[in-house]
Amino acid sequence: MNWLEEITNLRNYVLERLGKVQDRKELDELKLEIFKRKGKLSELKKFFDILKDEEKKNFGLKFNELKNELERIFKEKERQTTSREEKFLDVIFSFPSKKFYLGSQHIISLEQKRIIEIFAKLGFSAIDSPEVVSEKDNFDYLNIPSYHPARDLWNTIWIKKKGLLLRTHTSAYQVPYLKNNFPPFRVIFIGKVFRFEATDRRHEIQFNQIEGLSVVKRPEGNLGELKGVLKEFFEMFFERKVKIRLRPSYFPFVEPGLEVDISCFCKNGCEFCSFTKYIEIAGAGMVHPDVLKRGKIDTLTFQGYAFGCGLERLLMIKYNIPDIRYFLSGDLRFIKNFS
Amino acid sequence: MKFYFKILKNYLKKPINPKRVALLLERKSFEVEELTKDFIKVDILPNRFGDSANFFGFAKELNSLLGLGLKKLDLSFSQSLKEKPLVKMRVKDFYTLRIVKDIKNGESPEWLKRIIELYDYKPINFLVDLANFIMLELGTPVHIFDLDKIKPPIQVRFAKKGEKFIGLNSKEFSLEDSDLVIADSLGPIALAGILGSERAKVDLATKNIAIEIASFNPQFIYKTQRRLKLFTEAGFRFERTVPISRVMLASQRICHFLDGKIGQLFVSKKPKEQTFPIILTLKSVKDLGLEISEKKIEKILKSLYFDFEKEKDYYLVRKDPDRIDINSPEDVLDEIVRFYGYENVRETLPKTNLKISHSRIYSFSDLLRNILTSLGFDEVINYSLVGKQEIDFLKNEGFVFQEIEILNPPRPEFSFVRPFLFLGLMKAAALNLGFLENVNIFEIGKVYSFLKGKVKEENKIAILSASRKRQSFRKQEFLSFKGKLETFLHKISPEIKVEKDIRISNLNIGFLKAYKDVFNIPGDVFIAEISIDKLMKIQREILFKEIPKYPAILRDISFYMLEPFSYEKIKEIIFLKSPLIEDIEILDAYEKDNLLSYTLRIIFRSKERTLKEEEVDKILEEIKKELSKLPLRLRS
Repeated sequence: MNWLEEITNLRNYVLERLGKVQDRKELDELKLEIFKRKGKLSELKKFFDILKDEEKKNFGLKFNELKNELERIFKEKERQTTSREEKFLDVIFSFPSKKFYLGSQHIISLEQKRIIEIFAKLGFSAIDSPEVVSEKDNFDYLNIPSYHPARDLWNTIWIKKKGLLLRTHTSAYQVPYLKNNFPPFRVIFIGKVFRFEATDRRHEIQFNQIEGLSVVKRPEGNLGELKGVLKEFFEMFFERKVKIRLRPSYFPFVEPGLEVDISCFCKNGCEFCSFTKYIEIAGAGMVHPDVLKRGKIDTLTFQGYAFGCGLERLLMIKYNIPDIRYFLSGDLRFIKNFS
Repeated sequence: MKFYFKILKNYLKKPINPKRVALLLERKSFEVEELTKDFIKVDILPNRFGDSANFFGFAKELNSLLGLGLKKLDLSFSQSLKEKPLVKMRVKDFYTLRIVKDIKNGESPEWLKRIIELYDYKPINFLVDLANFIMLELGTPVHIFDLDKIKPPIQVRFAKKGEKFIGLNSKEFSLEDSDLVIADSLGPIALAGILGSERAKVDLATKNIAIEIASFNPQFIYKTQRRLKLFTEAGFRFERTVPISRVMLASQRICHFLDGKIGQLFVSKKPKEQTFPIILTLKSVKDLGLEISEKKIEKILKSLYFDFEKEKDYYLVRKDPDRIDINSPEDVLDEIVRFYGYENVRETLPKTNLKISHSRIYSFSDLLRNILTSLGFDEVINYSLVGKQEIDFLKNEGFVFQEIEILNPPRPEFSFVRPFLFLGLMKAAALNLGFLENVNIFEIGKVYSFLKGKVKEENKIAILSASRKRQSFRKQEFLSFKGKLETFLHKISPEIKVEKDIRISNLNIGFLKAYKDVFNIPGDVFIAEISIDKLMKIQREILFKEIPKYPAILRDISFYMLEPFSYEKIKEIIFLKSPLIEDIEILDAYEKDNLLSYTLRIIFRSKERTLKEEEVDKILEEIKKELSKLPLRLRS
């Protein structure tokens, strides 16, 4: 057969077949039929062996022409028909993904970290403190000797060994810290405290406190600074404007002793603030000179202030958590709430 | 305490505006708990109870706040009897006693009945009601004995151990030598400051009386009330200290209401009081951050009934003797600032910059939390207290520790301070498996035990993995738990080895355990507990490590384990074969026909040159030879 005829036949054959191709599968089959090794196209290569040199050259030209044309046509046709795979690739973006599990930190840890960061901005360092402490550190050194009625303000969980207890407040670390450090310093103690308490929505036997302690040279570190630091902290913590109200109170280890209120979130009074528009949030005061002296601090040169508040209470206000018992429930549904 | 406006007006000259009173009290004195048109209820804390929790003292506070003018108490009476009782004082408490004869007891007048009924006292007879009234009016508990029922002399002394006392409530008490009593020659006639006796009580037939007004040592009363679990209003007041100045006032005031022949007052020796004045420097006022004039300071001191003398730059202050809470310059400062008004204290921020230096535990714990949550663990926080069940479990499992027991557990499950952290995780796992298929949790916290009689504290982390699936040992899950544990720990130090013990070289830093059917957890539960304090110490320093210059050659070997055999041992044997072995990785591990199969990849590399295939193959042959001595079957 004439080589030119065969080239024309193949061309016609391919064009005819392509015209009938329905989908990508048929196209791929046809492409294979033509282009595979020992396929229809390479069959034509037999003429390279048969033809004489001069004709071989002509054939070569025509052969390459055909090959290029077919490749072009197939590419064009491929563009028009999509494969299953390509279809799949197209819709896979809408498929449900494989799930990976990312754990959550406890809200107490997350917020504790934030609080430490806020206080660092205000110049306070966070100091670790123990939970099992001596009666002296928790009470006597804070002007609460045994048989003092103020002891009734803290319902204590005692340890069987005499003189030991679970700290009822983070203030238990005041004197140990004062004793071992030279002023000036501003520190916070943050951690667990314990009370012998019947539990309910607002009471737990175990919760966390944040305590601030500043001892710097007079006249810095005074009541005005205490008020300013508290305002700044609460504004950063609650991410809103806060008004601070101080009221006289009594804690034997501070003088004056104060109750700290912040303005409520509500406009016209709500149940949370008992329609007073203020929420009781912390205790505070100027560190009693007896306490400073027990910490070997020169009270003529230095003065101190301290404040303490319950971490859970802050979070209950911030996130509208109705029951303090959730925090230690171990219930992951509660913990995952906040991530 | 509740204060009725109609009672208060007997003590104040000017009319009371309840709303204004409430506002000022709240800002400057006491927390207001309730305000109605009839009364105001305030919370008076222990330091102010002695002077303020009574009509007269509260009126004084209102006068200080609002300048309402204080009416003078009528103290008039005529003393017609020379007699002065003989009292033997065996203690140093402040004590007064007065005899009144030929009185007529009976029903109280209406005004008296009305007042004490407002305070929930049942009118009994005039003498009892009057005693209660004086307590409400001046804050001094008053005790009246029927003189004809007692056998002088009267003694104020500690009880003898085992001494019996029959109280007004007819209940018998067995006393200790720390209980203070008033006694006559027959025995106790009152439990001092707490309760009178049945024997010496006044009744309608009473003619002659002895009136006791005192200021007992608060500690004695505190101790006795708690020991006997006997709490009375008088006891409550004595615990908070009754001012001696008020005792003197009350001993006169009560006579004003009595007919009969009034005798002389017995007064025990006054205890040493602080008589020297308090020095209040102007600097201390300024240091507090107040911008207040001297005139204003003086006005405040005056309104508080304090005497003072102005010196160059300080005041010599003599306090109102009713104010037992005022003893130091700071106490006076407190008074000045609350009258000056906290709302007038200007907010400032710290000026001096101090270096921030947090305890390392915070950032380190944070790192641990970040790694573990990334690995799919949730953080829980549990109670730091555990019950006997948990302690027994630990002991049965062979844990060695000395537990810290709670003296007054709030609940039985809170009887010990936790000596290990994973116990709480067990509880949390059991709870969460109620609604989750798998639970992977951790906790960071402190644990406590006794070590050689001292409290030992340790910061720890515990990790747990449990599943609701019930089947024979979940090997794959266990290995995946172990894998996560290693990934986590190797972030701290790649030198950490995780087996039953978790250690770094020879230092044990924790443990890994698998339990079955414990603490209501169905099936297997895997736990690890590691000391954070120790982890912090070994956290590697980050140094630049040379990136390998020469290529590695990899060789894989596969084998079945014919008998259970420590993988670490296999690794050790391989490593020993050549210093050119850089690392060994597990490519594949599976189980077939109850045999464990492993494929290991051994990485060969030299720091000095490119290795040759032949030398590596030679080492590999030697490794295979060595391994074939173990109960393993090598696969090709």
